[in-house]
Amino acid sequence: MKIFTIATGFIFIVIIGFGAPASMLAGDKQPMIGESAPLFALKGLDGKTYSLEETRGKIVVIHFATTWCPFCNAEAPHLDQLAKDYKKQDVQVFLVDVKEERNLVEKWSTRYNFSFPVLLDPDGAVSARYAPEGVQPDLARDEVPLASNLIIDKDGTIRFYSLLNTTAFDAKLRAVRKTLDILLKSNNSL
Amino acid sequence: MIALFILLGTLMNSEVSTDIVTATIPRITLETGQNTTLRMQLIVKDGYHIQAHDISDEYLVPTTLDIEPEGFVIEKGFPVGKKLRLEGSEDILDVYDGTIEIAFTLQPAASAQGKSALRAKLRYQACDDKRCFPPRTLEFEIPIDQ
Repeated sequence: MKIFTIATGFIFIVIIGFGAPASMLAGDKQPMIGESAPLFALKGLDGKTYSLEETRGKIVVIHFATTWCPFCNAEAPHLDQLAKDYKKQDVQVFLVDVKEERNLVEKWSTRYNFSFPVLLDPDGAVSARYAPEGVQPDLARDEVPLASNLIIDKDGTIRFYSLLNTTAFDAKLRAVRKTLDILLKSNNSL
Repeated sequence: MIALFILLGTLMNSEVSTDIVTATIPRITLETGQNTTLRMQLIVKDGYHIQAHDISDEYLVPTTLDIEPEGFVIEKGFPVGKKLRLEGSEDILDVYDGTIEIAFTLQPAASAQGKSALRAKLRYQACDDKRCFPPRTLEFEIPIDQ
């Protein structure tokens, strides 16, 4: 009995501590995992158009944000640091601002001096396509992904989705970093 | 007697709500030659908070109450917000939760002559501990007893 208990405990520690996929570690109810990320092409504050399709072969981190969102503001400096830390490993970070005026977003983004493209989703159409079906039906579809972070792998598959309704807020992006590290080490698989 | 007070209270105040905030709307009687105080309660649903009126981050959306006709309000009195640390970060927010009271000082009756109501717009931005909701505006009228 004692041996059985020790063995069970050991297996539990191995699974939880080492073997659990990053998506589980970040929260076990992440939506859209394993689905193809909806494609988009959006204008950045720099005037260039950025398309998700053109990033194929890179790991992409997307953060949906607005200037008034306290969660987004708390995360912003950490997102910029993440972009800098992973730039050499070919990780592309995008911040997608949802339904706000260009001038306001421009002014807001100077506060953080983002080192990655800030994209404008003026009518919320892209944000709405990233809203998981049936989740938070009380909100407009383009409001659902606000403050979320996604990781899209080199093949365009969603590997991480920290929808705030289902995961604890993580301003320092520990779970995102953990998933990125696993993806990078294992050459794009979790 | 208690029933009478409840009945009078019901007749004097009405309410307007969104899914998160309820505002009690008082009837006001404007005095001739002296200012009137308008007191209004905002009730924030359990588990939610809204940004306070005075906030430290210029990009957050403060709670505001605009009243028309413009210039009719002499002084706006909002309570001080509670400090709230955003879970999972070090950011401190100034917020309202539960029931708060707003007190506005209004001009004497002459400046609202011929009006049966004031138009009001309450703007707020709400969050719970996991989500934030886009700013909402609640529009309503405050009846004037002549």
